[in-house]
Amino acid sequence: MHPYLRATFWILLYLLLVQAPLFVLLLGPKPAGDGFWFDFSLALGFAATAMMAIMFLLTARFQRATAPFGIDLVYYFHRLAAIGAFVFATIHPLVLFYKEPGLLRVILDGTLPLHLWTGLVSWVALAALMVSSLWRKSLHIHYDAWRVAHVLLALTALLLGVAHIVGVGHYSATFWKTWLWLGIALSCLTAAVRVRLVKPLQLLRRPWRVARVIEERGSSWTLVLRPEGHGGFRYLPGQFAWLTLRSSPFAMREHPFSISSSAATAGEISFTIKELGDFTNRIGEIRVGETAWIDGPYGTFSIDISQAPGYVFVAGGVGIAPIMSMLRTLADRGDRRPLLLFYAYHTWERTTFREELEELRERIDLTVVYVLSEPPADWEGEQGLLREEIFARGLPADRAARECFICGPTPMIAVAEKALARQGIALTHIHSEIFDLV
Amino acid sequence: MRLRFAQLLALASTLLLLLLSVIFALVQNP
Repeated sequence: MHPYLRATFWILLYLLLVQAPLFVLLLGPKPAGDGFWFDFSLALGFAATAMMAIMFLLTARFQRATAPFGIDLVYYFHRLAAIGAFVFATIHPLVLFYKEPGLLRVILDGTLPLHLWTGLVSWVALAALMVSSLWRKSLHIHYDAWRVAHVLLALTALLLGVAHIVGVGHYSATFWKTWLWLGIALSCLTAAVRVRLVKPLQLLRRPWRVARVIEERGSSWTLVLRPEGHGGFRYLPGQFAWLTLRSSPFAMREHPFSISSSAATAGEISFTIKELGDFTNRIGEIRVGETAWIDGPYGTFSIDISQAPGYVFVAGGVGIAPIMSMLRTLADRGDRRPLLLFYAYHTWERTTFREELEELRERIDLTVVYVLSEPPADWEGEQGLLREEIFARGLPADRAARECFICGPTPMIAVAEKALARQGIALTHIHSEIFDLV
Repeated sequence: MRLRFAQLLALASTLLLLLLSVIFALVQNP
């Protein structure tokens, strides 16, 4: 099936699932209306809970459902849609407080019945989820602690939300409507169990061993991993995986990293990781022989998915990692298609893989345009931040036929996408990878 | 483009749910 058709199917399924509870509650016996604002408020509460439930499915790493979009985009969507769920969950009680001020007094008096307490605590958990996710770095919350808290808060918000709906019983008094909500809660629990228990169990059976730790320019490290007692896995150049080091796969201390090795060679697999905080700052302390666990591969950021007579790559900083995987693979395959790389970095001294890129130019038809924001005094190449005029100068005449791959910080991706589109490259030819998720 | 696509889809699906909530209330309170 065409990727667009598959994507449309999953989007329609998402819309159907997220709306279904509202429709179903209107079927069969139902209470009489209690005024527009009262019922509107309840509908928002149901919608918020349905959205929360779908978030569990979005993040359950179903490879088939996420493949047409790229799992990075699914996580990005999860982040945005969750804001919508939070807005609904906030308006729901506010409308009720406005219409029935007595309710607010009951909360302040501390005489709230249990079925309303569940709703209140559910909202508090959701609010904590929002704050800790949107401002994790500003609040200096460690990524590993955030991961654990995120799962616990999400489960609390959803399960208490469902308990609130079932406890109140308005619109869900019939047996099958109660079971609709309990079924939703069970589906979410199943999705959480799949990611947190079933997947780690599968990983335990397929351990990896650190074979080499290589220091690269620009505070980056390449970890080379070798499969231990199994054949590893096949991946497409440019894909990424979740990597667990120095802890059990059950500990939720996994981190997504791009694979930087060639997909043409079986067995060993490399990740290139920049010291950017938390876990990554200590990556250089990893020793040869340590055990690792890899959940992957994921992602659609790959030349093997988008065939073209030539490619344009845009890398910002360590965003070079998946692009190195593609360049190395093309070199190993003896591919002679024309390749152009725009590579933005701060300084020449810290530009990761610059020596290997020069070597690769002898094996593949590669042109590299370095863009330095802090160039040395004698620098004659492009400088400053990546911008449209740099693309205008560097892009070849056959640009419209090429497929473009952009990887780097999110603001750089936005600038590059816009500039490439203005330079005549169709939006369907522009692919990007988001790695700055939380 | 991908980011914009995700943003539009999130906004559209949220607005759709908002509209459905209004319809829900209108059906119950004609």
